[in-house]
Amino acid sequence: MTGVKSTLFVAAALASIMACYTVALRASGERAAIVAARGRIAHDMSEMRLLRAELRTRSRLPELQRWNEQVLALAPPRAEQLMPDVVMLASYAAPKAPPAAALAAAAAAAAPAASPNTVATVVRDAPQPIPVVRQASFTPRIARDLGTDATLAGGSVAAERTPIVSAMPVSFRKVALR
Amino acid sequence: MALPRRIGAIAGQRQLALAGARQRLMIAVLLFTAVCATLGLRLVDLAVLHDSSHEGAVVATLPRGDIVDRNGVELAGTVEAVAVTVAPRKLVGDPHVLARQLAAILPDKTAAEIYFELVHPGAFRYVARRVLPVQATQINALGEPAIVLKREPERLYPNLDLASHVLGYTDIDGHGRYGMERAVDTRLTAAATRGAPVQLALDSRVQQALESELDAAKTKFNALGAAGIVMDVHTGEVVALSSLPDFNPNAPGHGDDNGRFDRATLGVYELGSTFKTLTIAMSLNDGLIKSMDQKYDATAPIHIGRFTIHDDRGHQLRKWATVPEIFIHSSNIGTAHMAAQLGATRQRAYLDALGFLAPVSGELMERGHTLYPAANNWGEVATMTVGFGHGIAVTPLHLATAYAAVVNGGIWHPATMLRVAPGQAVPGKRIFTQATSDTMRALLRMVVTSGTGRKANAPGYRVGGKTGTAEKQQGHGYNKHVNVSTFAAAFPMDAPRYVVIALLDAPHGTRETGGFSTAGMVSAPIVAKVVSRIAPILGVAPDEHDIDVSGMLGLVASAPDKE
Repeated sequence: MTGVKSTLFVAAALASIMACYTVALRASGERAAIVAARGRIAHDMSEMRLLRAELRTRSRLPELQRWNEQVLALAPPRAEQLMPDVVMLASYAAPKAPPAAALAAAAAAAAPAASPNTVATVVRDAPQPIPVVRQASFTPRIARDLGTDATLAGGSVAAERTPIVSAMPVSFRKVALR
Repeated sequence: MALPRRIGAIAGQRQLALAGARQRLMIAVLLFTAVCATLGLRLVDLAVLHDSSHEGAVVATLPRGDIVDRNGVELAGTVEAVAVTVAPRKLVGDPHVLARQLAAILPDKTAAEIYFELVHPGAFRYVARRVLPVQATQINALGEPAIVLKREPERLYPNLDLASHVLGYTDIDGHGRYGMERAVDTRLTAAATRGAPVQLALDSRVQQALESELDAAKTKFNALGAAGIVMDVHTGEVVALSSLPDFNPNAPGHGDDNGRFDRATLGVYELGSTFKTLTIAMSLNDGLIKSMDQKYDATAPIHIGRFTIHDDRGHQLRKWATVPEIFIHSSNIGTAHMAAQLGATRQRAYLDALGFLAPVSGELMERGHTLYPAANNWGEVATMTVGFGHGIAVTPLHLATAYAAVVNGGIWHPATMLRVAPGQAVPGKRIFTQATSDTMRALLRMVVTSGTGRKANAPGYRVGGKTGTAEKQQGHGYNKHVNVSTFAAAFPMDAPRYVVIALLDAPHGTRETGGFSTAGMVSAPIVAKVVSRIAPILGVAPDEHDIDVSGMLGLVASAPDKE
């Protein structure tokens, strides 16, 4: 009986030790995972800082102004172009109602079933012409400097973005040291 | 007898064994309890004391804090770079070959320079610092065990030259050496404070507008240099400060001393007629000017000692002139009489209160000492010449703080490069009365609508200001053909919010300006362009209504055609 008790006792003790060891091992594993995760976070944060730095360097204000002036031909707004409130802005931008005579002529020229409302709808839904920023033959100096085939034929914003992104072979650190 | 004795012995042995077993059991129980307690404590330690959520902040901490503008846009930050180091004693390969290989990867270094480091008797040497990742990869591929790539922080200024004199730069070891990097070095590096960025009063958009317009004017008029300031009149916050030529803080060593020289805070200049604003404000404030139709003698040049004070050609009034006439015609003679009436003591006291007799206020450590007559030499001549901005040399930032006090209701605030939270402005000191300030605002507006500063007018933004053209001192005298042309302005004049200073150092007149390089021709247009660009950014709405100057205009016989 004593032998059985001792065996049970030893087994219980071993089981407890094993359980505790397992818990400790698990805790140790979790801790190692946390340390590894911290390392990854630190690395990712460093990468994020680097990417943010690159983004800020490439989109620096003097460069944006250069693009505004040389490529997009944008200028700061004049005082008379600024609206004091949104109501005035809305009234400024609201399409003027076409004169009745013009509408009638348009209706006559169009399909017999076309009503003035339909004409208005068609006009509103028609694709807006892409604003031409520069002449078709214009090649921005920046693109030429970077040695890309970027041209602003048509001058759409989407057309400009592609060459800008693809024309970044120079490290931003080199850009910063210019 | 033998059997009972034997039985007794066996019973004794059993008791002993039983006692021993109990003892062992007790020890085992105690050990078990101790082990469990230890494990429990360890678990608590892991779960509570080593809470990983507290360690994220430690990971994010960098050796030097960022500098951001008033809107949180980063102006200076730290990124990780790579340094190439060598332990010369552990070198395995041929140093000649290795030097050539490294020089091929690092174009900034010669093979001889690298060889010198490779064979140096020291235990540790830098071969190159802040190399690019692609270069680091190539160097790593060489496989030389003595070459070790070490990560180190690198300071980066993403806007390159923009606000370079304000931001300054650090040395290779990350210590601030110029500008705000130097001024707030402790705050940027202390473990307790570096986690939070230092927020400047600067607005990077306003800074860009100021710098680009100054640069365009400097190029157009082929000037030696330029300086500009935009300051909040109610707090003394410097919203933009520029000095040209400038430098790239990412590579400060590539620039020259002229580029590193801050003309806005370190350079001192005789700012000429811009001081007439101050002289009239002083006289108004002390009750010496009782009304705007009070007249001063501007009939003839003043001969005093070996000096002659006269008005510029084209601006001679040759009569007793009212205060608005003296101001908008920028009459030296009339202002000299006003200054003489004020007297040296009061003039000096005002200038002292406005900070002109000390290095300029603000956190920057690059501050020039102003030049002015010694107290025992501040006689009538000095009083008269100082009255129209000659014989005293101050920085443009001095002038900005003084103009802010003139137009904001009379309170002088020290300049600050750091953002001031709303309602937390440092209390200023009253220099002028509200009435003086109101009158000066009308006079300054009149200079732009009808006087020498008409080219500074930005439609809708009610700009007021004063021209100042001073001959530049060269050698022992003044060069009549070289000017320092300044325009000191504020806007909107009905409720001034910002002071704008534009200075060109030695500009050259063009055909467009009729060959003139005076402030009204070369500096005033800068202010008009800057105000047009920055007013919408700063939330100043254009307004057709203007400050009423008709009463004063009635006191002016004729407006000047040009400066």
